[in-house]
Amino acid sequence: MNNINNNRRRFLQSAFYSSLLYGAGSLPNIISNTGAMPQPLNSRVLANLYLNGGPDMRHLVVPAYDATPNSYGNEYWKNRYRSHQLTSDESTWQARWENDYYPITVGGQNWNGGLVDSNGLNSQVTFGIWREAGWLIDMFRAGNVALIFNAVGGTNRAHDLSTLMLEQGNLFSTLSQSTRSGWGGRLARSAGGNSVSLISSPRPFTFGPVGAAPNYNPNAIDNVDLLSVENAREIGLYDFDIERQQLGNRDETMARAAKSYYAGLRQERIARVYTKFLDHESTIRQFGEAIQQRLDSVPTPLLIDALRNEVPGINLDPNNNNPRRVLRSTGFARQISNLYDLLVSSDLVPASVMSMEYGGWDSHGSQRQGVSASTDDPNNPNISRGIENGLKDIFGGQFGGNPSDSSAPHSGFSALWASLPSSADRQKVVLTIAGEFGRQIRDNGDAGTDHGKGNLMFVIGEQCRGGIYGQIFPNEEIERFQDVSQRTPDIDPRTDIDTFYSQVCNFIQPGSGSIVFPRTAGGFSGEAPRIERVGMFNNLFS
Amino acid sequence: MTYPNTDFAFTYLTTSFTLGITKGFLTRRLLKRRLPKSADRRNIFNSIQKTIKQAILMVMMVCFIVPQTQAQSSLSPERLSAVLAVINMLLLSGRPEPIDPPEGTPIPIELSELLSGSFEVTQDQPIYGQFDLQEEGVEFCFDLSSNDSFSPNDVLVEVNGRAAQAVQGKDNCYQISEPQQRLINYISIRARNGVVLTVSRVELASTEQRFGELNKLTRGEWSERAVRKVLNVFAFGGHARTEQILLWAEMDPEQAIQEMLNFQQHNLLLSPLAEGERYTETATQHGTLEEYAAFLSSPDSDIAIPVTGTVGENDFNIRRRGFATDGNSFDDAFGRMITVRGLNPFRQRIGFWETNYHLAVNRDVGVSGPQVARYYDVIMQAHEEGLPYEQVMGEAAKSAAIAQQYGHRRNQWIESRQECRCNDDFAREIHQLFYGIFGEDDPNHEDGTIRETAKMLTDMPILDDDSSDDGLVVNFGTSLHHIPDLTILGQTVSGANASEKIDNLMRISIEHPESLKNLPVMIISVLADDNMNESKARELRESWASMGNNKNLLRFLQAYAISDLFHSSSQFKYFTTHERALYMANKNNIDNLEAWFGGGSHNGGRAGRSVGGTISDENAGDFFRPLANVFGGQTSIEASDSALVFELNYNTLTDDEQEMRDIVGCDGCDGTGEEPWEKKWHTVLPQREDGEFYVSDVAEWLWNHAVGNFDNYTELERAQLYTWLAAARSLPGNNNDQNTVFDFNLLMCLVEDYERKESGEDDFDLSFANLMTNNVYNDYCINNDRDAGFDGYSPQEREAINRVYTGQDIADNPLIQSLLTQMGEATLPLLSDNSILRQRARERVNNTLGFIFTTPFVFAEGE
Repeated sequence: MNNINNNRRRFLQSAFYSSLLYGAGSLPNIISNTGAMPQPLNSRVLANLYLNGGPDMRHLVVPAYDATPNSYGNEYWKNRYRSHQLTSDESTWQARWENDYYPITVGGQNWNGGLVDSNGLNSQVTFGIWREAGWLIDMFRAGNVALIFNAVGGTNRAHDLSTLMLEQGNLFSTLSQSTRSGWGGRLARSAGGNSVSLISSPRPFTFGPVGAAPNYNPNAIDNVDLLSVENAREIGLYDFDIERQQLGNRDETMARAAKSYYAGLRQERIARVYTKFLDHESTIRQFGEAIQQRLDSVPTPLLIDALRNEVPGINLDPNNNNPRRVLRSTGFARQISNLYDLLVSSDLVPASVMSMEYGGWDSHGSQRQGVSASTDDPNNPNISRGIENGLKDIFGGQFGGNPSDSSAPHSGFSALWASLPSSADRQKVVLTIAGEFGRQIRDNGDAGTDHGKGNLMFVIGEQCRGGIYGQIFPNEEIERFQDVSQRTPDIDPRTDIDTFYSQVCNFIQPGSGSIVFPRTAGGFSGEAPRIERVGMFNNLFS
Repeated sequence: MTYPNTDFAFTYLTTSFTLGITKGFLTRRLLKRRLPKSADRRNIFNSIQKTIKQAILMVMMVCFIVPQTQAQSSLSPERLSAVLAVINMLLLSGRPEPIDPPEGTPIPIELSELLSGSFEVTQDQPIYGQFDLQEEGVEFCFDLSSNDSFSPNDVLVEVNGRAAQAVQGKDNCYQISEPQQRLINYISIRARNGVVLTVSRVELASTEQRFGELNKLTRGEWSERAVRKVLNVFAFGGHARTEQILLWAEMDPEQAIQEMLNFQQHNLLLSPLAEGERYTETATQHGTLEEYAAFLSSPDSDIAIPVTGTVGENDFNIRRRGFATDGNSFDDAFGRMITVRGLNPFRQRIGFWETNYHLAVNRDVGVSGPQVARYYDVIMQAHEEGLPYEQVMGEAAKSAAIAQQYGHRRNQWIESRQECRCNDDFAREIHQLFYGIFGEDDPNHEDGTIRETAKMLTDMPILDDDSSDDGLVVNFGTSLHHIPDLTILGQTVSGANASEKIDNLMRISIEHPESLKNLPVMIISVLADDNMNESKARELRESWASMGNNKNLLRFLQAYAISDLFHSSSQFKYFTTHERALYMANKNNIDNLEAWFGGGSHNGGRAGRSVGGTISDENAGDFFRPLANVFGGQTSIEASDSALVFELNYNTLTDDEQEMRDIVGCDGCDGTGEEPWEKKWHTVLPQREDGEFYVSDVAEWLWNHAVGNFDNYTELERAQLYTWLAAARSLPGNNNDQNTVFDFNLLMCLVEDYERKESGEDDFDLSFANLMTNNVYNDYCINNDRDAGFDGYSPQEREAINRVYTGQDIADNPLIQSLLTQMGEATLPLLSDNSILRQRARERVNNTLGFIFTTPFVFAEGE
């Protein structure tokens, strides 16, 4: 028996040919020279947080309670009290509003004069932001948060299809088109940086197009500049140490054999299906070595460490004064930590796009839980609170010299923002936060909310012109609250993501918006993206 | 025979010609896929030529024959015969000229005939198969045997006078496309001088066979490789022995696949007990998840792992109580159900997909372990009974696990207020996730179908009493159920309670246009093909639809598994973490003790490959805790795109290589307290007649076992595997004999340093045996070679250790080739009287397997 296959592989003859192969090279944008200490962020970065499940942002931002029948502020609470775990007694609605929501009146109370109310759609409208979202409140008041209402990233109420649309940045995607690139991957390609997944399984948002910008093919995927880093401080391949005796340590023997084998295999041509594993080997080996050297000299900031570990003095248990982790989700804490590590190592891995995820938003039932326990100890990460866990993890904390709650421990982005080395770095970071769709305007009979369409989305950054984009509480919804013939009323989609995400792209890489989102290009002949008021995002970034 | 009127004759002739031309065209289209690369421009030219002739004939018919038939009241048989003779002559005039019959004994054979006799063939007594021109491509196959050993070179086969190349994968099958055929075809078989062959199972079959409305692989295309591919994708590799795999490869694929893939609780061909297996109950019992978890966790079972107690108390690091459905290691029980022998890994593969992907439930959102186990068993019992797929899904939809998962256990219809206190979660997903019905182009889907479905799913509380079914079944009520008819998917759905309505809806859903379009593609896209395209999807839909109103998942999967769709070069499948972890465990484990232990330890020794550890390390989500909740677990694409998954696999197999090496023996693991347990590699590895296990044989066997084919078994792999198996330091009589092993680079460093320093000396001996002796390895390629003036390794040694070898480098280097030959001829003392040597040999086998697990070729299947 001789099954040696001598003819299957063709040996690579030139470096040129090698560069054509997906798996033959390594990640193109890794720079090998390393230096100690955090390095300043040398280019703009987008961090996109996908809220998996379709978040009910009408739980985060609510209208002021209004006792007047048929007013929006009355209809909302009348149709939503069950999802807030309240009774039908209106006094509980009023108490919830007054105790748990930070009131802002457009052009009035708590409204900073620099904030935008696009096209004056919301003059004197009072809304509230859930008080435990302290960092969001403070950042909004500081003019760093664009609240984009009635936005739509998925036109379908099906999770997977709407998610695909959102992540591909294409509201016309169908399920059979899962092999299209993501808008994050396209932006990274346009910006010449890497697309980095901060979670173990990269999301379609990060998938790159085929070819070089600006003429790449967006309808296919090439992940040559995609890097997945679930833990930047531990990434790397086990290797042998040639300064030690080579014989006898079988783990090093195996490492040496595998390393040599992969190096040899990379000189050969193997079937396409296996090449991505060659690429992983090369990428991790290179990247791991470089970033380990860097992060050895950059400790994790305490505020970020405290998100998932017990750090003295932070988030003390009122019962015994022992420290507790801050976040409910240790996975999200890990992503924040990774985001920090990569931002301070941007000279090693120029990342243009980072991808994050937070799940648990499909709140058909009991979307607010643990009310009494959380009232007693709102910072206890071990209380299951329904979607309020996620809202607190993401938006909780504080910002600036006059926070709405100076006692609030820093949650996810709050800790990151407070830990970035300089204001100059923060100026280069922009966050986008969205789920695949919104939820219906009435709650259901199960103290939850069912799938809807339009929703509130966020663009956050110190270069962002904060304020309100779109009508917060469309008057048309009042009728829909009351009209029982409309059995599944939802927020009307008025603004497609193309219109504002293209501006985000332009901020990261000038001129890239209309390439990443072709429907925004001048002369585009197809169906133009919806926008609530024409031109309202023209000055989204200052 | 006369034709009663001209209309009939006219119809006959025109229909015959039209069909003939159409059939010829279609046949050619189909054959295009099957033509070997050398089937060539000549054939294409013939094809075009023939088509033109057919067109001319059509014109002739219209011009000459039709007027005559219309002019006469009848067409005599003689006249018709004459006309057809002319037509045939013209049609066949493009055929290659007839050839003389070859020498030997003729064996006439008809299409679809399998001859039962056998024929002796020598150089002087050749035989030849003979068959007439067929209207389609054909495959001529036969089996060969001999009382003496023979090689492929001892057999000469000619097809119509020309030496022929067999179908890849099968030595004795020859395909002849329709254009290549002559009026009479001959396939001659002759033996070389001195060789006596027996030819049997001579068969002539069409190359265009269908099964389940998919193109079925022919006998020649159905091979060991194809069998292994099916097992890899549909049975986590399976546990079948090599002999069984070869048997399946020799069988008709339709027959083989029914043995390989079925839903019986026990499939002893796919999962036979190991030789001398101590734990045999699984061959006949414990076939459901509930039973299996109970068996694993029961104090009454004889598994030699403590049920309860403090870990470490008895030096076992696992406790069986956790494997119960309500235990904290229930997911590990399921992993052990797939890796144990005597059950059915295909059944579990489908069960895993159903409950973690297609019809997923999630313990992280409150579905209990007992609910999951019942759910799993209900679904798989329905499959085992052969129920139509919509009934299987109906059983799932009515389960407590689903009611718990989606919360409709609380849904109520308040008749007095005409109010549905409902969430619409499952009301949506019963259409979308179960059937792929999104409501495309249906304006009533959201406000109509989904809201009405929510009403259907009312009064479905989970049973809450002290019975054995407490918490495990839904109690279908009527007082809070919307009893009147509902309009769902545009049709009326009736029923006195939710159960009846669900049953009635399922019949509608399975035939819904979106379901017909999406469901078969959903099934195969997740299970078997990450490279789906519209053309493949179309074929799958046709196959699915062809089952009419009895759509059976098993039949569909069996047809797909032996189709050219699955075995095409465009199919590939990346393995998820779960699939790879189970695959690696199945490729490592031999007897059931290894499955029970699953990497657990006792008295410092270990057994079995861990499944749960891999899944946990790679953050892939435990069994029944799918990452995307009801949308399913980690996908193939997610796993393959994750550098982290690759990294963790690599690091575990290198940094923690002992996890592979240590699982080859364990004192007292089997609970007898008498003999230490030893991994039984010797029962499965190839053993020659002299009783020895040769490195060359073992290396090939391990590669084929772990990868499934030899596509990527080149000089590069051979060098690494041979070194792992053979290159161990020799210290006869010492406890460390064969305990220190080399990798290929270190071996070459040793060779070069020895050659550099000793070449020309009288006792210079570059033989592999000498290199492994104390005289050489202690003095060459060593750290701190102070005699040579180096504190560490010398520059030459460093260069050798770090050198990159390509397969070509290895193939072109005579010294390396010589060493490989010598290593290939070395043997593994797996049956030595010396227990230490046996252990070292087993360790090297496991290290070799571990090395294979680091390669890219265990991450995917295809191309």
